[in-house]
Amino acid sequence: MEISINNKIYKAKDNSTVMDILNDLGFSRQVAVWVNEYKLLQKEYPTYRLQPGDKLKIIKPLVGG
Amino acid sequence: MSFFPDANILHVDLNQLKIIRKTIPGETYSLYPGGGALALYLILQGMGAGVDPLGPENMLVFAVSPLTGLPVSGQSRMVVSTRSPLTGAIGESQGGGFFPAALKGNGWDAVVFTGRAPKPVYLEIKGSEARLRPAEHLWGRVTGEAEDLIREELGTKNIEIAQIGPAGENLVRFACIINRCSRANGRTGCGAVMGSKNLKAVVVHKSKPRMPVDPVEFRYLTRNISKRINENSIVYSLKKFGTAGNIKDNHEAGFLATRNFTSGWFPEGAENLSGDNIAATILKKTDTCYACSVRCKRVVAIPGKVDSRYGGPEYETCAAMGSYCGIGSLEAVAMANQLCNMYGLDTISCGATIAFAMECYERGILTSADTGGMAPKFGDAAVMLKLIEMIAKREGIGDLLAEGSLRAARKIGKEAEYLSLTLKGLEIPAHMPQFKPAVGLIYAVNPYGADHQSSEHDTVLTLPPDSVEGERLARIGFRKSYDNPLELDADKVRFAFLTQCFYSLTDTLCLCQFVWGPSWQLYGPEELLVFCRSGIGWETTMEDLMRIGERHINMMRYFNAREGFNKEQDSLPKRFFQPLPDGPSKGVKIEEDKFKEAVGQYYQLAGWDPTTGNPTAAKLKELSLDWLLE
Repeated sequence: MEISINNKIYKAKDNSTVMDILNDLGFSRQVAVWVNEYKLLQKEYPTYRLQPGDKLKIIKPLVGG
Repeated sequence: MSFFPDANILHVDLNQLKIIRKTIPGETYSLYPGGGALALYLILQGMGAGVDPLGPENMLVFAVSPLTGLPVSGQSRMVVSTRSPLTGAIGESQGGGFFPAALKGNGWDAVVFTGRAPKPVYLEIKGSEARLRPAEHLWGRVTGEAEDLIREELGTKNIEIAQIGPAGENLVRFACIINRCSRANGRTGCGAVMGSKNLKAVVVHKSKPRMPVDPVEFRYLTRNISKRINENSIVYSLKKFGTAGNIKDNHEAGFLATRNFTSGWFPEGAENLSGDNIAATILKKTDTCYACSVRCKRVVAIPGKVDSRYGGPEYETCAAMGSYCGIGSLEAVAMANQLCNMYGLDTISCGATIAFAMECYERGILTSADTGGMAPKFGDAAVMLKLIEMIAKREGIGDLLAEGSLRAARKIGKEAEYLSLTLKGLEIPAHMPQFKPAVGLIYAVNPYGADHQSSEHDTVLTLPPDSVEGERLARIGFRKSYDNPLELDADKVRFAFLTQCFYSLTDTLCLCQFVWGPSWQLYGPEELLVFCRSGIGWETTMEDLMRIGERHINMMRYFNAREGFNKEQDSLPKRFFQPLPDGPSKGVKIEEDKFKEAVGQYYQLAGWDPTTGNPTAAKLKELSLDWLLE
């Protein structure tokens, strides 16, 4: 299925969860995720199943150093 | 009352070349338990207002904590405090390595220097013994040479050396103190104070490792450490790519400070300066501080150009010597890092001051007549490298720039002061306040000037409230998640204040803020309580620990008030109130009125006088600082 991630088209496997996508992209849980402008709780990442056309925003916090 | 150890203090009178040992009882020490708080306690007890930062009356304090040197990650840090020759305010700088653990391992919590030695000396500490040794033969030597000579002279490699380079000797106002030629107490010019005292180095002999009082409970912190690191992607990134891992991401967000903060967008160089490019090209190995499993330090080498003994560039150095100056050459930045570590210069202030000079030149405020024929333009790596040497040696235009960008701007006149990106005279680190307004607020109100490690960064607040980070922040009293980290509202001010208290606590306990912190770090508030209890038998509470952090901030602020500082110095440079011109952050700015309102809200939270921005008598009493009012 086709979804978009941070405004770029992405081909994901059908029935993918948010966590599947994060794993595919090499992200950990330490990111914020919005699906169609709804911000998910972290506990939803493994269970929230994506639908074709969903728009994901993923933000990795950039901290000090 | 819970047990708290006494503090052992070494007082070194350089006028008389005398060394005295003193003890602070545990009951008192528990209020100022190490680092910046202990140093401020000693300074406020021992030094009046108005001393010349480069005069013999200024006190210079090296301080560790009762937790330093225990066998867990992130505990080998040392704070150096003094009246800053760069800012005139309190100066404070934190640094890591092996020196702090060795100092505590010898039984010392702080070393206080007063006076000025008639000739250059260095201090040697071996257990309870301490002696001053002649250092005329070391004066003028770069750090690597001086380290070799000291090791040869003492006939041992089992020593740790914290020293100044020629920049400190030449009283460059942003000279730093370096240990292992690569770990810096970098900020606020403490190296110049050391130089003014004719003190070249402090040498400590290595000692037996310290052990926790409750090894069984302590194991909770250390067991499965690799798993703990691997499960924390931010800490794992520090292990894998070092601090420079964030360069490219900050650029892509549009907030990598570029060309003296005129932009946050550096497409021509961000990729080159990034941590993954360091790993792919010039990385020789990774390195660590005492007993730390994170290993965030990079060691780089370029045959014939960069010697690995001088470590490798951190995020701040890649930005200050790179993007601040419009330079995208990793080789040039690695060479700049080496020069700063050889001469003993703070890479942030040095890079920022060079970037300031470049913008002055490009705008015609400085001309080739001022620069001795040089043309310091953004992007010119050869000029940047030359200027570092000239600053360290105070040659030509380097003599002016060695004063720091604010003093230099005031001497240059015209519109130069607008181009000095400083808070209280301290050059701004590479986290743009437009991106992180809570960090910007702390830049403004922080007693020792703009510091990126004095509070938590706004961006962590985008994580959902059920994240580990959200739960840890709730433990210190903050519960809110943000969709937009660029917001600055009353809750954000509270976030800034609470996390500033926590970071101030870690600067007191001398803990690394990549390992111990209030949100994303390897260990959070609960683990810190375990550390205090199992490490030294200190039964404390999070409320008491937060109060220690707040007390430290108020002591620094009180010091500044004595020196005439007030709310007038608590504002950001005007540039940050102008929209950014390009890249993904185009048009972003801080609203000036909103920022001023946030400063007022901060004073209210801190219990400071809104008319002066200084601590009230009631606040000082509340923090058991009545003695400051006597």
